[in-house]
Amino acid sequence: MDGGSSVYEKSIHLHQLVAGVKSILYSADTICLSPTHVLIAAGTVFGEVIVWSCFLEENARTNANAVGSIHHFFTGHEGSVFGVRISPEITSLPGRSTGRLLASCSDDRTVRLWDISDCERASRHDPSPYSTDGFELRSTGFGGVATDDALGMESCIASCFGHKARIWSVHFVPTKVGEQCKLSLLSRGEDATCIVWDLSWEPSGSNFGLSQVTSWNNHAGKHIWSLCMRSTAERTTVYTGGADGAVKSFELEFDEHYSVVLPNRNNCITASAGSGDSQARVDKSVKAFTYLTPNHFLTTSTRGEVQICWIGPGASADRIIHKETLFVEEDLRPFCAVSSLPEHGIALLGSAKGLIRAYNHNTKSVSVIRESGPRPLVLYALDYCRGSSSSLETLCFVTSHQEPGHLNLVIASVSEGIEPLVDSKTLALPYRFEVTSASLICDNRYLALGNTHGSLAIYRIASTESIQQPLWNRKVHSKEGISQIKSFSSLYGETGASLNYFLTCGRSGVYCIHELESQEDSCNPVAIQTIHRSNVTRTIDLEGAYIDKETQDLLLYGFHGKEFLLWNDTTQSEVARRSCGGAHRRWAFQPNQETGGGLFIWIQQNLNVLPIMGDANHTLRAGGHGREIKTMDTTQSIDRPLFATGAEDTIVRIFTPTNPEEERLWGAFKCLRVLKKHQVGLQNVRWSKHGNYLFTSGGNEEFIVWRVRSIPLFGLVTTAVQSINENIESDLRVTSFDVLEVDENEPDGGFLFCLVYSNSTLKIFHYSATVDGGHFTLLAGGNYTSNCLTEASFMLRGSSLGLLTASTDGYITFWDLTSVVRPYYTISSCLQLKQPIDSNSITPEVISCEHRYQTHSNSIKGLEVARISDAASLVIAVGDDNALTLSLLNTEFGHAEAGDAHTITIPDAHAACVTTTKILEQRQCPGTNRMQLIIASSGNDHRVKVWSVEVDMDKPGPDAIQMQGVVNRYSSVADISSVGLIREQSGETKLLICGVGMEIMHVKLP
Amino acid sequence: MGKSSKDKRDAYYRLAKEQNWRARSAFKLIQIDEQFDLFEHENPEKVTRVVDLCAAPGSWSQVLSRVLIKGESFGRRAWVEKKRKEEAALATAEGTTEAGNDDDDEDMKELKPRENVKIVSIDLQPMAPLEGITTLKADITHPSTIPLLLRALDPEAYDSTSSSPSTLRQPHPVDLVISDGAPDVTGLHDLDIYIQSQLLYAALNLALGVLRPGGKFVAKIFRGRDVDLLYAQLRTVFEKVSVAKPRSSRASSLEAFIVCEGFIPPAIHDGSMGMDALKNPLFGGVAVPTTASADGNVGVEVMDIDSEAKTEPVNLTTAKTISSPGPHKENQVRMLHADTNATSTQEPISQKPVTEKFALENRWIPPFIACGDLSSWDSDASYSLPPDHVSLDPVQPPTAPPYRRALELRKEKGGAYGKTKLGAMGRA
Repeated sequence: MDGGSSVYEKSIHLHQLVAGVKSILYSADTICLSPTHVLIAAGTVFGEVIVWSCFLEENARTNANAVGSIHHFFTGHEGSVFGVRISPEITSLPGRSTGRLLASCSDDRTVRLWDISDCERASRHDPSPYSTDGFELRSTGFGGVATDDALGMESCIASCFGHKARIWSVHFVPTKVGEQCKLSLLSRGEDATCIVWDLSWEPSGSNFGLSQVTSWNNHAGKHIWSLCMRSTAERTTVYTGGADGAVKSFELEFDEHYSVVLPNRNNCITASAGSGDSQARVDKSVKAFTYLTPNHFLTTSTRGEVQICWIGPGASADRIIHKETLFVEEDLRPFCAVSSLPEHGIALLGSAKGLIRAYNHNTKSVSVIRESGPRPLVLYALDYCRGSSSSLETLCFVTSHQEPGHLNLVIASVSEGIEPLVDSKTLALPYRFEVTSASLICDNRYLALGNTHGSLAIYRIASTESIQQPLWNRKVHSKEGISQIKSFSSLYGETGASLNYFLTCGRSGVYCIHELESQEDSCNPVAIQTIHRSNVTRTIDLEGAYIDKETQDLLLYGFHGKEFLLWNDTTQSEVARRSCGGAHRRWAFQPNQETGGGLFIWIQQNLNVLPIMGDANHTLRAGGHGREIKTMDTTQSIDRPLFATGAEDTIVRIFTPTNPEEERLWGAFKCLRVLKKHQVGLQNVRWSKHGNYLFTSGGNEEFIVWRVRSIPLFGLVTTAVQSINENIESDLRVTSFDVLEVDENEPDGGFLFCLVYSNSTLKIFHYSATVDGGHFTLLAGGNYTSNCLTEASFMLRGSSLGLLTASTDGYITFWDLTSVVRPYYTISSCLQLKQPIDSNSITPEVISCEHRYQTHSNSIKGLEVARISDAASLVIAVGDDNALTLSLLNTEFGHAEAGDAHTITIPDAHAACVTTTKILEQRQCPGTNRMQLIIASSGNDHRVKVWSVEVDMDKPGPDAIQMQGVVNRYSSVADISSVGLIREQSGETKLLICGVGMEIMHVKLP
Repeated sequence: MGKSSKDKRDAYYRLAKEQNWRARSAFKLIQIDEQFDLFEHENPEKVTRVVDLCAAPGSWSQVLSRVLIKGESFGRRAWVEKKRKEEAALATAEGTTEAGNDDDDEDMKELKPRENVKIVSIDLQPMAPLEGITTLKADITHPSTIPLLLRALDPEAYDSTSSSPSTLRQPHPVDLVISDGAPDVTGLHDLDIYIQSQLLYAALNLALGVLRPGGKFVAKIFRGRDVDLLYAQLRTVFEKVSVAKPRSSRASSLEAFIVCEGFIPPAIHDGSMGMDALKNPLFGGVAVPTTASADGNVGVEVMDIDSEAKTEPVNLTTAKTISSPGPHKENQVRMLHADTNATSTQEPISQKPVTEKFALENRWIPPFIACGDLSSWDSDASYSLPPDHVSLDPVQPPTAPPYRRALELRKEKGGAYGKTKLGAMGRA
């Protein structure tokens, strides 16, 4: 500071020692080789890597005589160098020499390694190999230049491709110092991927080999922005931070050869041994398997053996599969169908002749349930309960029937020492119904069957009919089929038993929640409604779902190509991924609620077991959108505020604000649901007045109506009930829309929409919630000029309906819709339908704009309209020209003055484009003609401003508007697209800021 | 996005191909000229020597070539001629003048090549040559570019073997320095805005060394965080600074152009130009840090400026009221900052004590000027194309990306790399 004074207790002094080459550097790394020697590596924008030293004087305080010396100009990268890293000292370089390597990564998608061992030995007295101060005539920039000087003569020792986009940094994984000729590296990139590399060399000789070991893609959207490591003797934990705001970790372990072992990936176990075997071997005789407990599974072999297997303790490298033979049955040699209830320790084994045995793992006893029957091509264990007396057990399962097109529902009462009592019912399957999944649902009152084409059939358990036809049969998933049905009791345990909800998984990567309602109607005794439908954000052919007991997270598993994937849908992260040949192999997965992991077993040549550790891949902070948020809207649900965000990543998310102290995984924003249906980036999202509907619009002319509600245990459920997507080929954007409720007091009310498009057109739709489960009718359309429309706002005033639009030319346009909608609605303080709309008889009318006026010199980015009276509205607009404008618009429809406006322009409201504005509060001053408003504005200058406005209708012209700036705050959110107000129950007000990320700030409103 | 759908989505992309421009950005310079008369079409001798920084693929150089060397009519000249023609047509229709004056049409086609034109274009990327233009491949942020540029501007005067080229004075300064340079955006906003500002400072530092007094400087700017600090810096060396947004630049992008007119050589340069001025750059990260105390400390203590303590309401000052008979009755302009839009020259902020650098009074917002007719194409709108529309190939294939080899390799291995969105991202 001037005069050396400081406002802080201690002051920091910074001194410039030496300057290197002055050009824009994208990356650097420095290490202190000694107290007087600092080694610096830097990467330039045009692909050079400069390695230089700064030599300090010993014991000098100011180091006025520090000198710089350039050792290397490494050229070869064909793009900007985004990362350089100096290795720790390596004692086992070729020729048993000690030295250091330099790793670099670039826009050209390569990771390269360079030998910088000589830098260590340099001293301040050595002449610098390069004397350039950068002022010589020399060419810079891209493209190989043949230089006659020494620049560009040194080449890298290894180079490899791997990332699909730019590589931001490269790191050396710390390893134990040893004689190994091997190092591991990590890189992170724009492709949201982290790659593990292996660098090996021969002890003698000079060849280095760089190859990719594995890659990690566990962040949403683009970019891993940060990476750090924590190492112990056994393992390294790698932490990554993505553009999605998530912080995740994964583990790297090393075997005795210093090779990387990745938990939940390549730590699979193949060797097995029985109690008598002296040596473990790979077992190729296993045919079928099923779980008895989360840790034990039962296998059958080509030799007719039935064995219990489990994984022994020990280090991952020498763990084996332990086997214990239960019995050997000749009839199980050619064929054996298995099914089990791991939560009860019960397994069913069906032989080719239809003999069905039950194995009880608790008592290790086997009982024959059925002596003979059809070959059990279908066999699903459904339920098991221990009866009132300890010896009586009831076992329920479905299996094949003698008659094709039918199934046997078997309820067997087993009691020790007594012949099982078997009650067998016949179920008639719908035509060509190939069963892929079966489960009891709704407190075990119904049986649900899923098939290969996505249909669901429901039967009653307590039916007395001799042959029961399905009570309900409909397609609920796409043609890829239903892979799993789960009742809420099996998802949530006892608390879910009484609920009539159940979950289904579709192989197309969709899971649904359905609600079953019993009806009085004897023809349709049950009705099933799909209340939730979710597309998983990753490409997974879903096979199953479960809820983690401890965290209540929803976990999904299935296949992606030839890989098995365990996916935490709540935190949007991968738990495990393993190449296994694909879903057509024999496989089984069983979660372990105790450890948060599970066991995945499959046959690929032989039996393979992958123990999945719940904590190997950890989510420290669950993130949000992977790309910038384009739009956001808030609503107040019964118990908490909700807000929906739409982003460039084509995803809509629903969040609720939380207390960061309570929700460590989430911080200040808890994501309740991820909605994936849009094909391109979002443009606008809006809640209905009561928050039971959400409307979203985007590119490709997409407009979607979502139904949103809350159910016990699972929470928010969302379904896309209807969408406008008239032209799939279209690349028009629905840039904005506005909505009015129709018959809002009726349970089956609808909506009136105005959609505006990027080609300067607008469309007015009526939406009926009841017709065909949601139906749009085009009532009218209009054309502005050729400028892109950016905003729309209905104005319901008296018995008239108007519309305001804003556009990229800076104009606000006023459209009178009264005559267009009057045939259909009664217009008063709300809209009421005159009679049901028959969409076939309607010819859409053409509306034309009435008045327009310019408020901004370039695009209008945000528009809000406040009703001051039936005769006047305050129009708030913000734009690209840094300006905020307030116009008092005459809305006396039909009068000559309608459309007249007086405007206040604040040309320097922000320092850059103002992207959004929001009315936070509006109140009438009692007994006066004055209206007070609190409005917020924000934009690309990272400032959030709050303005207080008073409109006095007794004053003429622009003087009617008085305003003040009341809050001016910095937000770290870039590209702010939207602001919203959150009102806590305590009365506290918070502003929510969305853009590249989200922020909540406490703001006290005046 | 395919070629054809890009034609619909981006009117200027299509127009550029139809009018033989190397890139759509040509329209940005033309529309800025339309507003600011950069090329002084009525005093052609005033703008003949121009430096184009970050020129590749060369569309701005193309505009320079067609306006200055070939003498074609674009920008302001074309606009004036069009207006004159329209007025004439109107007058003809009203019968006030004789019909049959066809000269106007000829006027627009008339070539007015200028004399003694010197254009130097620099870019990191190799650029296809343009007749009459000296192209250099160099990094404008790198000091070695200075001697390259000086030699290119005045080959005779520049004696590279001279023992001290630092004493070189620029005998023939230039009239206009333009820069359309932007980094490949990374997606990390703070970094992108910082690099863009450093690129702008590098261009400005070069301009300071070669521009004649009264000369002009036009450069791309990202209107993001703290851009008002940047504006305030520029105001110290020019009489008039405006921020221009051509219609051809998307409203959805941060991009705008800073138009600086009336160069005032800073006093500390003491009239010296060329190497001397360039070796001690005034602006940006390359400027020698000013020491805060005698012991060479360059550290500055920055207070937390965003504390909630300051909650005084800010009043606005009424600047002017515009009345009109139309539906838009009155428009009253009220200012948040008193000196917005005012132009004044101060001592360069970089020379001020560092403690004042970030002060509020060093922030300034210049007038925002949208360029190009409202009737011109809207870069944010989608247009429908006639069914027989033939999508043209770009005039110049894009510069080979640095990851070209990676693309080829993936293709070889059967990867779908070329089809992923990642392939085209991040390159503005």
